[in-house]
Amino acid sequence: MTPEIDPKGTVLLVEDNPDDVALTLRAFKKNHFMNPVVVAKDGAEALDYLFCEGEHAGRDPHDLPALMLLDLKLPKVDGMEVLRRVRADERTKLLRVVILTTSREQQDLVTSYELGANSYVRKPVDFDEFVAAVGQLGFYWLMLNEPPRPRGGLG
Amino acid sequence: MPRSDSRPPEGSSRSAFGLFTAGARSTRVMLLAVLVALIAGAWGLHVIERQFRVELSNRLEASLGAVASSLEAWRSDRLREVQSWAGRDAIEAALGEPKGSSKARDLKALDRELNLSGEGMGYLGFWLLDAEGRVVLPVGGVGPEAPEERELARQALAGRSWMSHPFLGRLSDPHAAPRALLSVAAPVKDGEGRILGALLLRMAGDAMERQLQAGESGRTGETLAFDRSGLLLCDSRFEDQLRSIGLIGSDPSQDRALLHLVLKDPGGNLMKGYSPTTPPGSWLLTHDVTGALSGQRGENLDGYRDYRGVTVVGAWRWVDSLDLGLAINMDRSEAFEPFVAVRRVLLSGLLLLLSAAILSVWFWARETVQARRRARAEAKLRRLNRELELRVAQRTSQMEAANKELEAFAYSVSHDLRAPLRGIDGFSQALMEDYGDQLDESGRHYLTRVRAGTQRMGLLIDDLLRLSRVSRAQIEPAKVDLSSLAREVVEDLRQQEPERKVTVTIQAPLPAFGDPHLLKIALDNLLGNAWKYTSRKADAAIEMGTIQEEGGHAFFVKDDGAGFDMAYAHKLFGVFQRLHSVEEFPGTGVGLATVARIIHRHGGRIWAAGAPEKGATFFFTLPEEGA
Repeated sequence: MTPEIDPKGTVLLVEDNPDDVALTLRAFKKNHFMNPVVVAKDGAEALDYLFCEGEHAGRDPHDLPALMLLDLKLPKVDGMEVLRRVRADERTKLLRVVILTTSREQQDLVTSYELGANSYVRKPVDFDEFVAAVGQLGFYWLMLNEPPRPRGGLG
Repeated sequence: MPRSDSRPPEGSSRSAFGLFTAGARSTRVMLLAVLVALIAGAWGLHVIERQFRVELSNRLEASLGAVASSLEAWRSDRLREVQSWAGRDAIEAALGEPKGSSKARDLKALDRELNLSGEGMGYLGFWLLDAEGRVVLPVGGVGPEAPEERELARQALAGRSWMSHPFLGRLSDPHAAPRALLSVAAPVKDGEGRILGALLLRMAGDAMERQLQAGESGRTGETLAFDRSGLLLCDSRFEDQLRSIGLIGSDPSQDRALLHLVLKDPGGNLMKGYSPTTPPGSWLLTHDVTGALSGQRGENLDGYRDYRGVTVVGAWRWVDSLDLGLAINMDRSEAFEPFVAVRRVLLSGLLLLLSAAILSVWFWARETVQARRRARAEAKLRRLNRELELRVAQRTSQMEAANKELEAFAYSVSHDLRAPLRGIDGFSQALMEDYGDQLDESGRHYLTRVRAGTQRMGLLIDDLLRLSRVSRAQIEPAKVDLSSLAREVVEDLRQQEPERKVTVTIQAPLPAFGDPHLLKIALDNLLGNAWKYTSRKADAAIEMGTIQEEGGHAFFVKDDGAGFDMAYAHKLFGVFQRLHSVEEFPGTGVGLATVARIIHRHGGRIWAAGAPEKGATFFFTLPEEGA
């Protein structure tokens, strides 16, 4: 694992709606992203994956995803809480988090940025627009943007 | 003094309470004092009256006594006088044995002498009678005619010196009207005591008057002398009045009370216009006369009616030696005048005191009632305030709950309602892409229709959410220039459709007071509509400005586009109400409803005017700052 620009880095997709999962994966494919995608169906599962707990207890904790696409409205632990926990933990606080949600509420947007989201993208109803949006954010976060080197031994 | 300033109601209510109790105590003390003063006043008045009556009684008795004694003394003097005359030698000689012609001459000389000395002593005339009662002197006289004088002569011839009551008689002229006379008589005796005749001296009937005048006092005090029939033997102080009420006649022979007035009670005050119901003959003798005739001394200070019907107080007695009654009377009003004056002063003082007490009690009572009323009103006000606060709190929390629910609902809608739409659209797209070649033309058309439907639904949801957000949003008013907001909106529109040729005229500046964010949304919709509904015109015009309106000015946004039929104007601002089909002009029918809600939430009004194909004008007002 190099911490350099990583076009093959894992994408953690936190999404409870299987339709949206399918559509997101299709949008990835249409944008020709080859990155492996791990899907967590709720906030708790996402946290387990990140902190190698529960179902993911055997996973290498140093293997962090290159990008987390986080929905806000999730069963068990909601998106905001996931974001708060990620930012509060030394190991994950630099993780790139893009909020990908249907919510148009100004309050959600403001809170997300306050908690340290890197981007906030609203899922358009029009699938063409959705494909374009996913393509743009993937291109930016997975290829263009240079992530910081993690301090400590995690990198 | 921030501390005292911060608690004025408590402080003031405490002092008001203090005043209240102090007022009650001082009022109680004052009432007690007034009560004591009233009792003392009443008792004092009683004592004064008793004392006054004692003094009045003493005065009356003393006057009556004085009059009686002086009358008796006067009578004795007169009797002595007539006796001394009767004892003269010339008189004795005149009644003695005849001595020839010298006797006639002697008689003439005596007649002259008696006339002279009698006149000098105030006598009006005399009779000298012989033992048989024949007239000796004056020569040629007819002798006593009146019964009183005849009786007097009889007594004198029987050896008794006597005085008559006043009587009516004539002097020398037998044709003159009778007048009041009074005679004294004494026997004429020789050296051995044999009765030779009688001498009568006649004087004016009111000769007694001077002695009675001693009992006159004040304005109404008088002394009356009367005989056994109640006939008045003296004059009255009130003769003018008696004449005017007809109690004595105006005939010269009867024009005085003396010997013409019988002291009877007329039954009411004649001086005050009382007209008696019974003839004078049936009236009873007055209280004092009746008392005197019964032989008793007496007095009455409570009041009884005299011969004028006036209430008088008085004292009376029968004087045996004079054979007449004496009464001393005074109008009760005058007799009690000093006492009434004292009583008036005292009562006025007490009345003043009483009114002061009543007034202060009234004030105190009013103050108390007002204080109680005030306290009640304050308590009620406090209770109402508490209830109101409670109700406001309840409503607020209910409203907050409702708002939260609404927010949750809106959040749900924005998140959950759109997700399936995206699914429908996405999978339709996938179907088209992956299996499009297996579908025929109409199959692919249906898929297109499915996607168009989902997109329209997405728009509807977005607009509804905006309307809901506008309804919920907190209004934060500020000074705002609608002109610059409008220019921003138009700039966006031009960028979206750069090929459109639209002349936009915006009055500048357009100062207003409102929430800039919400007003921007309103202008987005109004100018967006104007832009949209002029889209079929090659050369469109949009204008924004103000016009003068009743009570201020209104903003307007005017276009020369498709317009609308005024018959449907009332539908313009309803949710999902559209006057054009989606094919003609796209839209959801939520925009104007949103605008109307924004204007209404600011407290403004919105209305529209237009005609088909003649353009539309939307007017709205916004309250002034501070309104």
